[in-house]
Amino acid sequence: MRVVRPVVSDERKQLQEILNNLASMLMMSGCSSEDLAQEFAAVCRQLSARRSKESVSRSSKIDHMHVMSHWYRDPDYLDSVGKPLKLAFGGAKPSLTRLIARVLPGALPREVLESLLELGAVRESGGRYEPTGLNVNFSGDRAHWAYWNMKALQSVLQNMVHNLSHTEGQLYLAKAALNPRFPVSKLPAFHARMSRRALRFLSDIDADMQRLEVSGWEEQTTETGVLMFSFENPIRPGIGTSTTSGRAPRKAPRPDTAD
Amino acid sequence: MTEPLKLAVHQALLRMLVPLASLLLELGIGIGEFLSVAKLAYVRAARSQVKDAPGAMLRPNATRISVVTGLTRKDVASILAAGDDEPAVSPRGRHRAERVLSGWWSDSEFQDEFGRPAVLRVEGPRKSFEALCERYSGDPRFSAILEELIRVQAVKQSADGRVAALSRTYATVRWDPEGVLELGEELAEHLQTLLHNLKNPTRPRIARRIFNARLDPRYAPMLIRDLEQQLTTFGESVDDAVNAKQYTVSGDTDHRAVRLGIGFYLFEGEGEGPATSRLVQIPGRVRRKKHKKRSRGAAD
Repeated sequence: MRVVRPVVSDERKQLQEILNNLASMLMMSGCSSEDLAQEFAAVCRQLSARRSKESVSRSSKIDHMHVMSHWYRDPDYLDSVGKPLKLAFGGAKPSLTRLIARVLPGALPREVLESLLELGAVRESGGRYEPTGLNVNFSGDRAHWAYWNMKALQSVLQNMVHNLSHTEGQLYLAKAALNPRFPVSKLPAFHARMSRRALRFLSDIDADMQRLEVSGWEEQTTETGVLMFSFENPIRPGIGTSTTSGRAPRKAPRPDTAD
Repeated sequence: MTEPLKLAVHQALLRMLVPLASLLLELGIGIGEFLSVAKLAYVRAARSQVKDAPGAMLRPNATRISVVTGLTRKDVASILAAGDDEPAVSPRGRHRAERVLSGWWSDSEFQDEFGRPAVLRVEGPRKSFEALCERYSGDPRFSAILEELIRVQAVKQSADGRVAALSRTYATVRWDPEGVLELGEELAEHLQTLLHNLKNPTRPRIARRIFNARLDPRYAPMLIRDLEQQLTTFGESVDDAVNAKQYTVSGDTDHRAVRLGIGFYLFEGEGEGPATSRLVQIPGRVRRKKHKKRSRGAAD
């Protein structure tokens, strides 16, 4: 008898994996499946109004940023001071079409270029294209944030589940620098400084991974990487300050997101 | 001293002296002038060694210094009699400007809300370049410092008269008296660290060289760009730490200040021919690292 299985989209698979990892992590930390199901249903009911009305694109435009990594590090695409060359879309070597074909074989160069232009990673200048930086800033684009958040959540949960089910020597990196008494007044400057350092660190790691990257399909490959986040927990009032009066805490600038 | 060690010392000395001689030739200093300064350095070094030796006498002994250095007793006596007069050029102006720049980047009173150096008006009792100079140079006369910082392009003055910090550091070596003095100071610091490590092998100060003598030149521009960016970010982090206000001795404490810092520089030159291995000295251990087809560095 032939069993007909329903087609499961990539988005659905990603959602299942996220929930699977979240539930695994919580159960491995001691929560019961009954409690989880009950609480999760209650939370979903409570938050149903917050569902985004916009249709969220699950496109992999952000994955096209990998082209930038090669553009900044392949000597064929750099000038004598290490600055990425301005490239024509097609034609003689070096061109954007050739670069894309090498980094993302099988992708449509025009489609990749559109993504990079949309992400602000590339700008056109006199009929040629030049990169704006190794990192992309999503600003207010909800679709990109949605894609990024799902990918990040999936990676973080996968890390947690892995570490809970493996022993010393097999663990993935999971380290943090925390301070319980950080002055709120210093937060904006701290976030700006930390973002600069984190971007430099991520760029270094990106270069390291790229040096080891393989171009063919001769051996098994996987996606790997490092994610960095900063956070602030609720503010505690200082002695002599009111919890209800005074200015609202200043929001730190949203940090750039590295590819 | 054994023959192999003597040979190594001669080779090391020659390697040090060739770039130094290039510099001195550029500056128009001939061998005669160099020798007279070298004699002075020998006497100072020997005097310091004699002073630190057990059972040392309070007054420097010309005969003893003469024996150690190989200089005539007359030469030694004449150098000792001249005292410790420094050359006329003083680095104090430069140091003041450097301290002002450092305070601008590290003191929240002179920064904007995101921790960047604030654009300052030149004069005024608070949050001004004048106030910054008063705090960090110890001198309310700020115009000479501002002029100097603008000249080396560490500071920019806009049309409305306000000033902005462009660089965290003072300019690098320049062909002027202060720039040349700075070069001497940097070389002396580097040599002092290496000398400390020779004398204190169990507690060496960090001193590392990382290089690839067989680098494909096509990759040099990218590596130089990345190293400059990495070291700039790292330098900012070090600057924030070593110049933190709470770590710095202020004028009204009894603490005696110490000098602490790091230095880094990039070097580039002719590569080597075929080589099978290199010996890399890392403080406390010796590591032999084989060259791969495309090596990424001689030390990890």
